[in-house]
Amino acid sequence: MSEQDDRSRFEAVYRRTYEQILGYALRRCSSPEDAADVVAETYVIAWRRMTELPDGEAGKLWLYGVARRVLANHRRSERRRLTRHTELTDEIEHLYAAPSHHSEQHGVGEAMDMLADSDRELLALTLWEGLDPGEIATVLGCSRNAARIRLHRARKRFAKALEKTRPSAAGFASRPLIEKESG
Amino acid sequence: MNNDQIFKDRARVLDEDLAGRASTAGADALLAEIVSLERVPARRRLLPSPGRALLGLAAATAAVAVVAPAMSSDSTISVAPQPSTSVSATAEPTARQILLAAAVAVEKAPASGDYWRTATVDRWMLTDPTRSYVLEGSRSLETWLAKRPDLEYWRIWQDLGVKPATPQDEAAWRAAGAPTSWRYPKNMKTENLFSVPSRPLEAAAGERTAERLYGKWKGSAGDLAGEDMTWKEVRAIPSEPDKLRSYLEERIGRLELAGSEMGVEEARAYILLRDCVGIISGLPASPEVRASAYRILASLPGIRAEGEMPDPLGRRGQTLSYQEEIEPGLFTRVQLVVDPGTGLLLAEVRTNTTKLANGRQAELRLSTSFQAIGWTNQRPELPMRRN
Repeated sequence: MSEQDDRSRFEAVYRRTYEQILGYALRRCSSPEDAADVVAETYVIAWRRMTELPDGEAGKLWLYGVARRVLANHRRSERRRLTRHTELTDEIEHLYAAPSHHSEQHGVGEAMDMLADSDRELLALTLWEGLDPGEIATVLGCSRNAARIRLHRARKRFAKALEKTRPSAAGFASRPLIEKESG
Repeated sequence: MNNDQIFKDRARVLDEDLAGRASTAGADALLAEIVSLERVPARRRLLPSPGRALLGLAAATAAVAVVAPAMSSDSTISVAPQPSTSVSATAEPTARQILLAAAVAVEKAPASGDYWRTATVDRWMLTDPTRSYVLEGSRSLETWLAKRPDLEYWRIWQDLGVKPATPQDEAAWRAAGAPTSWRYPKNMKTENLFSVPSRPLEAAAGERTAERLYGKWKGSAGDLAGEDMTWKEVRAIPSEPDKLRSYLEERIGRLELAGSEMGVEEARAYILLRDCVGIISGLPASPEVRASAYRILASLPGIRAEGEMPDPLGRRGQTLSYQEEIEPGLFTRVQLVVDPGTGLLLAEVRTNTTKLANGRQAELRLSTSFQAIGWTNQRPELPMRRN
């Protein structure tokens, strides 16, 4: 494949997936700089490993998988900020400041803090990114069954955490184990 | 409202905010910068391998770990233009170069002696029981494995005390009345980042204590990946890199890994790496075997060079690092500090972060610093105190 073909293919993937990866980064990072870093690093990796980037929908899941690792690496290593692209960071700052996201409810943040990162990750992938258990399995590199079970447990733990932080939420049963999923 | 909706409502950014974002100036600028980056050719697979398994390329989810070395040597991961004052990327040795230099150096180490001696200082961090500050404990340990049947096996250790980990922690410790003993509730939540001390933790250092090793230790030459080895078994470890690798892969192949949270292939790749570190850091194998362990490490993906840095005892060495997934999505950074001049491992450092009660993110480090690894004709200096 020529350099030109690579570029066009990368550009197509980038345009098609950017909003989702940006959303993923924004929802998971506490600062605009971190979110910009995660987006940039994810696509740098995709560019460098384009030969492994699957076509179509699978490509999106592959990118989620990369973004997830990038995010985890970011969390664990207090690395110096790598990106300096101010335009992107500015845009992201505006998104953080947008008015629609202040419907913060009492106790939810605390409940989420009580969850292990892996639980939060699963809930975020399903509820924020809208992935089904089959897709989550691809992102996490585990079996669909394992994804379903882990998701079920994460939901249970979230419900429990909510009970602790806001007793009024008690009584909402966790979802059943079986749900709609992809092929 | 159900719990799902509650979780959803916490999302900082909603999908409608994102519509059309793929064609903003920021998105365009990032795309332009990325496609101008040099592509890394697919040369990461340095050894012909029996399948993908042992290179740890557990599908796309391993992408970052695998890519890391490519990103470390050139700082072009920064999408912004490089400042012109930066040092040329070639000035810093790569992880592979450091490991190969260590391989050459360790081949010259003594091949025999009366005792195989390792001397280490272990340090570990944990929060105080109220999670207000971080404490650091340390302990020294010498192990003397006798090659000659007429000599005795000894282990000598000393608790070196517990103190606040950083000046910031010291301030918080003073504010808490500068306690010198800490009692932990049994059910304390630690996110598995440290184990809850069962007895009160004491600030004071202990006495140097010796223990003569009997029983299963007789004839033991230490262990490889937790499996006890006799002197004969250690002698039988093949020294050629390819053969050593096959030998280790064969052992790893016998392990039951299906139950682990990690994918089996990922787990195998990880164990191979750890076996090599185990050979280098403690097994009384021949200098050639230890050199081959370095050469296998040099062939593995995911190890990056972080430059010259002091180890926890202040000795300078080249630092290599890799990520360890301690549970799905939870990573620890492992650093290996190597002295390429002697081929000795100076230290192994694991770093996690935790949140303290006041919200401060604090590092929790676990380290083992090696003061000696190798053959000696000396005798242990035995303290009066015996266990």
